[in-house]
Amino acid sequence: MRNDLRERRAERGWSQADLADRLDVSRQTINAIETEKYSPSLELAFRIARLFKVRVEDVFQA
Amino acid sequence: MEAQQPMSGERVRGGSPGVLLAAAAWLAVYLAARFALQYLRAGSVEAIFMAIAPVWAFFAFVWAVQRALRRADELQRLVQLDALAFAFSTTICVLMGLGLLDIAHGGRLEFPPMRDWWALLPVLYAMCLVVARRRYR
Repeated sequence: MRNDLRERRAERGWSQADLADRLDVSRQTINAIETEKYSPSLELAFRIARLFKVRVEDVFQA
Repeated sequence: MEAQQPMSGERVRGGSPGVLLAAAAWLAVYLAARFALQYLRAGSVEAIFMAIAPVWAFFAFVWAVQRALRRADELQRLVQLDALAFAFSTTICVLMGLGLLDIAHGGRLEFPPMRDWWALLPVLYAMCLVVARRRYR
């Protein structure tokens, strides 16, 4: 699943560790999502969207 | 691909030092028991005590793993599942194959003692864990 998490994170000047802390996951998980090696659960996808104040489909595209 | 961020200050989940410490303690107690059992009289209270000692160490290891799993995030749980699934199925496949080969040879096939074959599972699990972690890196 494609996503623009890295761009959104970069816009805010957050590191992967910063974002991981905000989402209560490991940095490895953020890295795996950004490199599209891992598709997050629906719950985590919603948490990500909520954090960036956008819709899930704005961040993730099938 | 962007370079990975520095590790400092990040919250590390799963794969905690506690698990490695518990695994090392379990292995140490097991090896000590195996060593001691060579010199203790078979059937003695001391021998039975030494034979059971690694079981308690293993329970401590299981407790440490459970604790780490509760704190793990969804990707780390997936990595654990990948590793366990492959290690478990491969171990069953090997043991089944050896059992059938033994039957095919009329029970005369010489293996390492059956009491040591359990070690295949944790060894495979550790190897599969490394592979599974690399897959999502």
